[in-house]
Amino acid sequence: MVLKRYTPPTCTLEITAKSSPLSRWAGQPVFKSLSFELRLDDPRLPDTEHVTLRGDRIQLETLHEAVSNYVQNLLGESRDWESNLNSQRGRIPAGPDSPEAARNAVIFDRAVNTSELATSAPNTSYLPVPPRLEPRGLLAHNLFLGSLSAVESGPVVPLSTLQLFDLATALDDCAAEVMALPNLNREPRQPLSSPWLKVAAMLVASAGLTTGILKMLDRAATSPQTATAPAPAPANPQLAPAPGNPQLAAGVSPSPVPAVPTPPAPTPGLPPLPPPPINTAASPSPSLPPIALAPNPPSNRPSPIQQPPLLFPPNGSTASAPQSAPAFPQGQTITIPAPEEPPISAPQAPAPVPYVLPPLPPRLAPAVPPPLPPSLSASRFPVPPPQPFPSPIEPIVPPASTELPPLEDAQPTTESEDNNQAAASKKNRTLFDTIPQVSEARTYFEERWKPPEGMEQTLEYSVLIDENGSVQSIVPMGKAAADYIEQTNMPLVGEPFVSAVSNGKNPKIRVVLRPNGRVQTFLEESD
Amino acid sequence: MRSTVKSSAPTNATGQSPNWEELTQKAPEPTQLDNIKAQLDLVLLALEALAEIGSEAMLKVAAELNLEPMVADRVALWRLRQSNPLRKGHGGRKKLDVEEARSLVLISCHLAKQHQALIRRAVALLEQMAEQNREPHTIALLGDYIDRFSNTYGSRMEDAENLSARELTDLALKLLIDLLFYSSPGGHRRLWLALLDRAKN
Repeated sequence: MVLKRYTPPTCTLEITAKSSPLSRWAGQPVFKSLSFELRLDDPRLPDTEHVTLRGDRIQLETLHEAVSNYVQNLLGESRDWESNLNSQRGRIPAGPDSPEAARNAVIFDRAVNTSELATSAPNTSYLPVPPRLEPRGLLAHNLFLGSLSAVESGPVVPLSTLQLFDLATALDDCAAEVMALPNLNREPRQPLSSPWLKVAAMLVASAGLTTGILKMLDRAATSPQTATAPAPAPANPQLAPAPGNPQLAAGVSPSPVPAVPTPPAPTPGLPPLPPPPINTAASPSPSLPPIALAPNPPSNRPSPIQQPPLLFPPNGSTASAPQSAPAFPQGQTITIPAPEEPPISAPQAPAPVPYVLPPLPPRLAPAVPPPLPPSLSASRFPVPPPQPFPSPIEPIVPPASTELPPLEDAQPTTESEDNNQAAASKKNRTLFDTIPQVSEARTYFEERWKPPEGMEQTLEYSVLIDENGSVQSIVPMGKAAADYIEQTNMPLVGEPFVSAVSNGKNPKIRVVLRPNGRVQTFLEESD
Repeated sequence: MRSTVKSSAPTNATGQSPNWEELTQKAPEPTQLDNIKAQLDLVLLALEALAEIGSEAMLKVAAELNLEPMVADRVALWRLRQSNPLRKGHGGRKKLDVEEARSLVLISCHLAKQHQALIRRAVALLEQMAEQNREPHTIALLGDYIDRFSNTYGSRMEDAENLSARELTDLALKLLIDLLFYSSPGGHRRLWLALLDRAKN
């Protein structure tokens, strides 16, 4: 089953994978058995010179790494302009990169240098030799396939610069969209690591919320705040589109979210344990965040309900009702569509993730393909598409950073909730503030955050803190966050921000600034 | 999301937001900035020469990317580029700070993206010329580019008289190939890292 296809002009990269049943709980595709086929089918070359490579996920990652590093070296190679131009030649070691060679490269032969072949890639097909590239002058490159070698390809493939560019582009795109997704086969188990806790928390929260929502639904009819809740479609609840909620729709594209609110039964419905990781020896790409949906250690399965959730319930409340949804304040916005019946038909989404599921694991997960209308996603994602969580933040725009996507946002809030929120945050410490710096950061922004006129997006930043409490780096999540960074009164890098960190670790604090002036902070990770 | 359709018009690959955050994760040493200034000015010079981009287009992109605080007008842009220590006259006088350098990176890559089709064609022609063992000059697109680049370089840069036409051609072609990679969706990241890499040496 082809999962994704990348087709720059001179190559075709096809990703195939099986979707794991865990996808339904992860809220995004989780794949296993990912494999790829890369056809270097530059139309300018005769068919006989077209090469097809195949491999698994690990091989794809090493190929991506090799190509990416090679390109970066090519661009940043140490011929800095001044010395290169002023004291030409002298400093540059003779080699394929030297200006001499570069000039000769304009005499560009596609034939592979056979001596190079003989010396460079002996027996690579039997050993796990990662692919690598070497320049052949300015315009040509040799891709040594290493263990990727195919019978017909031989150990080395000559690439023109355009081919290299297309290959790099395809691999980059793929890395951002597919390889970054969780894969069950390769993540080493991380017992009791935070990913696991988040899974547990997610289960807790979904259970709690479900209960809470069921209760709230009873009140929904009379509550004045139901203005923001979609009117329960009485005639045909199954078809009530989630974006019927005006507040949701404000930030969400009108992509029809097929998620009919299905009050789930999370407690009995604990996800089955995934198969144990097979490729634990795989070297994880550094850009890959920890898998969000780590296996649940069986010993802990019976009890997750009792654990306080580590995440916000979808209403975004930091202070209210962390333990259980029934404690929602009266004025709570109901942003969940009301119908209670499970969907009868949803062929594209056999297991829609209930709307109420707090989207915590995807927060750490990389670039999830944005929700697509089912018509599109059905063709482009033959796997069941990830059920879009309610995410008022630019759900159509792919996360700008390939490392950390913007938070899947919590449900929109109303003023009344904000008031509760504001009151609650006066206490300033919430159960989520595992370290004091988190509440200090919230205080900092509560004093300074003034939403700009007309801003509608929620801004999110990942702020890395130094041991001394100053800002080490700020990563805006998404375009809006980058655009508005000037208006946030964000401390500059190096500026004091919070108190010094006691344990010598560098916490990363996620700062969420909402257009209504609300501020949320929480600990992203502490390494 | 990128289209899965074979893209015959690579310019479609624009529209990615300026991933400022990717540039903020790694900051240069102050001592590296001089070098970075020179390189950025040259990247823009190559774009100017290839696509006949003027400061008007650069300012327009700055506005699109909400970089006006950094590059508000012609004067500001000029001062930024004039900070290149290789420049004649007041070269290097203006201090270019990191934020300004990042702005120029985003502007350069956005422009490269806008003109990706042209850049791609120029590189394809260059490959073709090389294959046929012909001088790049003999193709109009490349010849014009090299001429414009060399002339502008000569009129702006201090060290121009030390360089042979051959060397200027090499520089122009190397910059052309670099521009291709900067025109990709992650180009700004590549350029920023390349600037840092080069500045280290």
